[in-house]
Amino acid sequence: MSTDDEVQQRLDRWQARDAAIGLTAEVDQLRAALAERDGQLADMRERIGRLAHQIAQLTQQRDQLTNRAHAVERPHAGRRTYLAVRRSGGAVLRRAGLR
Amino acid sequence: MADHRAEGVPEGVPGAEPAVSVIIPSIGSRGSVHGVERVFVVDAVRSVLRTADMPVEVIVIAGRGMPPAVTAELRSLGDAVRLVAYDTEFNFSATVNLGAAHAAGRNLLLLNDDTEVIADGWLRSMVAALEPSDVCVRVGAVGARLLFEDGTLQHAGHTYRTSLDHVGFGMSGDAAGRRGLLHRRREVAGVTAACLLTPAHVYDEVGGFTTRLPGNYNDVDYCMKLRYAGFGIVYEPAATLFHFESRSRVAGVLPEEIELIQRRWQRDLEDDPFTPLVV
Repeated sequence: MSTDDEVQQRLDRWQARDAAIGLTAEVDQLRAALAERDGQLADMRERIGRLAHQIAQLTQQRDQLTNRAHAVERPHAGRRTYLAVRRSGGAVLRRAGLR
Repeated sequence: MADHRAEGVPEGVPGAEPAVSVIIPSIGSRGSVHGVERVFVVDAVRSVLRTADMPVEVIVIAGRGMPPAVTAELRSLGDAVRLVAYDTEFNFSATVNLGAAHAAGRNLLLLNDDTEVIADGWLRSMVAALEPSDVCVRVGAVGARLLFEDGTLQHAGHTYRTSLDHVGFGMSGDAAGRRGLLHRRREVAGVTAACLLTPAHVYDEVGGFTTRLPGNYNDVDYCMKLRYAGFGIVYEPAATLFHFESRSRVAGVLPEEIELIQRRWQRDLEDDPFTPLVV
């Protein structure tokens, strides 16, 4: 038969051990959650890096397309020359009173 | 076999040491089973003494309000029955710890007072399941197969998968389950404290039941502490008992109990490596 002191000693020891195990378990849970978040952040950063690279590539392609579009909108060099000559000719004729 | 007696557990008299200390918290409640009125704890103790096939001591933790007539009846059951008074506010964990602190056995069997043994050989089967085997090499606790009064299954181990449930709950009492898992000894995530066998040295090693969970999840926490310490939990179907708990019992779970069990074990309770989703 255990004495009251022995019983109390056991109860106190178990309470201390339970608290220690519980605390360690909580820390482990937090560490695991932290590692999971770190992993998620690293994954997110890698995806952001890939997206930034894709944005740079798309921007470059867009700039090239814009330039080409502007180039297409401008009249051909031969036509620009023809129009310039025609404007000059018209001016000469107006000055000469022929028009 | 090596003596794994916990530090501080009394040596007792050689040869008289009980193999199992049965710890039963009770307030001496009465109820009706199959239409017959009974005092649960008296019938539970009688069924243990009638069927135990090894030396046992029964420690009844008598809570506030246990009627003197029940106390007297328990005392009349013999020297193997001891009563320990528990006269403070209800805390299931504190009561089983108190019983365990008084125990002299190599193994502790936590048993609810509203149980009754059905099958002979149950205790020997449970003790045998503590031994290293193909099922589990380092066993920290063994649980039983528990049936409701109507014979349906109440417990065949715990399963922790987001919610904390009993395996096979409500199934037919003789259902074998998928690949016969309800009929074979196997490792499970945890077992109920309604009938839980654990070596005394293991109980000591992990600090018993946490008193911070007075009413709920204390058995889940105990099993998780065992697993955390490298022990396995085994379900033993040859140990079959009635558990006259109401099927519709609504446990009053305290918010702080949910918070504590989550803080300690949430990540480990998200998936069950032992029991398939569909039993």
